[in-house]
Amino acid sequence: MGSGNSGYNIGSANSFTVGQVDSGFLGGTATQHSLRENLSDVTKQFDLHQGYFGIPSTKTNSSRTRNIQSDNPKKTALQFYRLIARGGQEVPLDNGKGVRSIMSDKTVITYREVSSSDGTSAININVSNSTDNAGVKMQKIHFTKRG
Amino acid sequence: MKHTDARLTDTEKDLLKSLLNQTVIEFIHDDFNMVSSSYLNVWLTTEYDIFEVHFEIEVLDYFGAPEDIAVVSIQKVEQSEVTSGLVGRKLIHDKVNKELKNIIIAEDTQTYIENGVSEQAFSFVSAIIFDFDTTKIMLTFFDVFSESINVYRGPHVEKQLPEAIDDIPEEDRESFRSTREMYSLLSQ
Repeated sequence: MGSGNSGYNIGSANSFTVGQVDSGFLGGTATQHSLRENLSDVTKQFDLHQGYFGIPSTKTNSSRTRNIQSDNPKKTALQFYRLIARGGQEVPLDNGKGVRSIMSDKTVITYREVSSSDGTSAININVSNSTDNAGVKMQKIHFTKRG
Repeated sequence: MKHTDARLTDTEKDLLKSLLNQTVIEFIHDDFNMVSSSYLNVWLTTEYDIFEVHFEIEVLDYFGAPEDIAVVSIQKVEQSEVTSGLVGRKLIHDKVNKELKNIIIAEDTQTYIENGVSEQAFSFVSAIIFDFDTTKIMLTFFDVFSESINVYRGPHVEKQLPEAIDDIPEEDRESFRSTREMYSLLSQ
């Protein structure tokens, strides 16, 4: 199911992986990482404010739906996922639409290349079972084209 | 007020009611990996039928915009349809072998209020509790973005059900209200 060292293998049903997983952990890390361990690398490239990444969606009134804008949203989404889920146990979703990684603190990160609602790539961060969410809140991030 | 209603339909409630007073043989779910959750589905089997509790994304209005929201549905399925939603994940067949005495449904409604006026509401199934008298199985459905069903089993599982307000982010609590209705299918 994995793409081995190639790192990217997107979209074919039942073979969806976005990182090197030969060690059993995303990115080939020796141990399973926690969300906290990855956070400093993520925040070097993506703003984190009061537990949320990106900016609030202007279309909805819930703080949990976010946007990260860039010139190449799909590439940015993959970059974000590979940073935040590094060292996670990655499992492809059976419908071929994405992957899910669980971190050592039980945070679950789900990446979908295409969301049904608007076609953007989307990442969901579920900290409801986390033993250490490092201040990150439950949220769904859409990766959108810079306007 | 715009209302997105993702609660169970009457047909789905009737299907669940047909389980009452039947012996549930097995409760099937993903092999838990660190977290007691099952992706997309859990199943309850009787001598003749397999009941699927399904939690899958649909595009619904979510407080002002279309969003991928996981919705609970209930259906009977064939044995061939009992497969994990995660590639390579084993399914666990937990033996129950007890008569189902009651089913409790919890439904939450979150309402966005602007200038004192209720503008948008979202209603969803937050939990289903299967009561076997000496033990219970509780399924919760709070992460509507991820299709993960949290699974609890024991005599007092309902104590682990979070309050409805707990699902509203703190920074949204001035503009959101959350209420919960819990009802037994015995009285429906």
